[in-house]
Amino acid sequence: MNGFGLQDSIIRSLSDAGYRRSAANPALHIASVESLNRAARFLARRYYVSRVGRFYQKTGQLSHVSGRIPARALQGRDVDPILDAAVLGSRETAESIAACVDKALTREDAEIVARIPYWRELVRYDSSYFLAEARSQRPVSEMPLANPDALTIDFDWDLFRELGHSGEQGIPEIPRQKTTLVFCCDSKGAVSVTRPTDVAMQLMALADGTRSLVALAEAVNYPQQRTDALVDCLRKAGALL
Amino acid sequence: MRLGVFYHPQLARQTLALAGKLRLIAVTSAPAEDDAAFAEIRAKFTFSLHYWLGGYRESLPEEALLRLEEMAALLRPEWVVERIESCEMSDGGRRLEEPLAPLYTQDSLEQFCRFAGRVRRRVTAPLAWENVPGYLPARGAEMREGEFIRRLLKQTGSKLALNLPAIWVSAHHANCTPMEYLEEFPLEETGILQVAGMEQNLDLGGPWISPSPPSDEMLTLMEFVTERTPKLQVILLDACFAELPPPAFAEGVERITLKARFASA
Repeated sequence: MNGFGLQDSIIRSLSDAGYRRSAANPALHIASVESLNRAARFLARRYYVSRVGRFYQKTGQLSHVSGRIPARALQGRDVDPILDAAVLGSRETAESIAACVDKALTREDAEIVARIPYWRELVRYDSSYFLAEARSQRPVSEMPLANPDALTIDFDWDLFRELGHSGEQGIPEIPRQKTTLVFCCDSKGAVSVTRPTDVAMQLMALADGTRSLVALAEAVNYPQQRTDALVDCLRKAGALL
Repeated sequence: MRLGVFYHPQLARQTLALAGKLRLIAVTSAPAEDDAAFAEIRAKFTFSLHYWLGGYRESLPEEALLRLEEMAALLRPEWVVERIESCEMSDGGRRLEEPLAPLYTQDSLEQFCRFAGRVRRRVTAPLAWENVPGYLPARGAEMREGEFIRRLLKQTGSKLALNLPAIWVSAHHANCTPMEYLEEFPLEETGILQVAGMEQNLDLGGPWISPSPPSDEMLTLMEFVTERTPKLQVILLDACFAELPPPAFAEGVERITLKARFASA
């Protein structure tokens, strides 16, 4: 194997615990297991601290009230087993990280909930936002197919809005109103949150990779041109593949 | 010799307030559309552009080079700085978000030289190469980092953007002092010198760059280098951390100013 192949194996070793541990990993010939593990844990922690900081926005915005900063959940040694087994960017690792952060944000949170009644909903919102960026293996389909990584989540509070308008004690006022939101990631890695229309919800439910655009328009009883445009929009956002 | 800082929008006001001491701004990405302070920054300072395209990949996307061109047209930088790093697999399959040093081989050297040619065809500003932290000791290199950089500068007619925090990290993992680690470096070709605070990183079991002002030890190393770098033009405070508090930023500028001899504004 030439130098470039070895360098590739190092990069893969540092981002994929399964590959790092495999006996066939060429990087093990040029770097010690201990140094690879150390560097991988370092990179994984920075990778997820950065993402939790970026995606746990709404809970982060209220840290002055809750006293809880989401990314702090990843600073302790108790997270090491997750980091040591991480495949950076994978849905599985993201789920473990989200569970860890969510647990830290909701542990003994009665006082926080008393002040911020939608606190737990906020945690679910941020958690979904964070998870949407992580991908499993995306299937390929010529016909419209719902993205298995997109998350459709029902909330009891209308969290679609910005937390801009603060009420008493600096806590934003959010209407208690059932809301369904879709969290998805486009092909370039940009995550978006949308409040889908009924037709969009139906399209996502029906797009199983076997129905053509014509069949979908018929199934949802919607004009063909507008169905095409809506599917195109959902594809661009990453809700459909 | 002048003092500069890495630009961060959260520190824009503090940066502008220190305009008498600061002369150059290092920029790593295009300014955000809602960055109201950037127009003033642009009017008051000159720039170095640290775009870090990543020289390892043969198939560098055209759009990345176009963005570099656009940034250079916007900022008219004194320097374009590229890192000697290889964070992305050659097929683009995976990319690390932290810098990773390449294996210092002849093949790798030739690749970076080809990359320099591609950058030079797009921008006219002088090219400088920045070393990255060597936190993963690996066998398989054909030459030491200092020798690799010396050859790279010679073959591409470029200067060195010497990242002292990165030297600090590399020296630790090479079991030597930063000064010993620098022995083979072409310090005489240094155009830019970067300094920052350091802290112990528990994962690495060694030092890492921190959002804090440079320590006395870092400033001593800075002095050691400046005495050996006749072509040095800029000392940069690496403040490209969102979490660097404004007082620490101002303290960092002050500490460097007290140690270095800068040309008057």
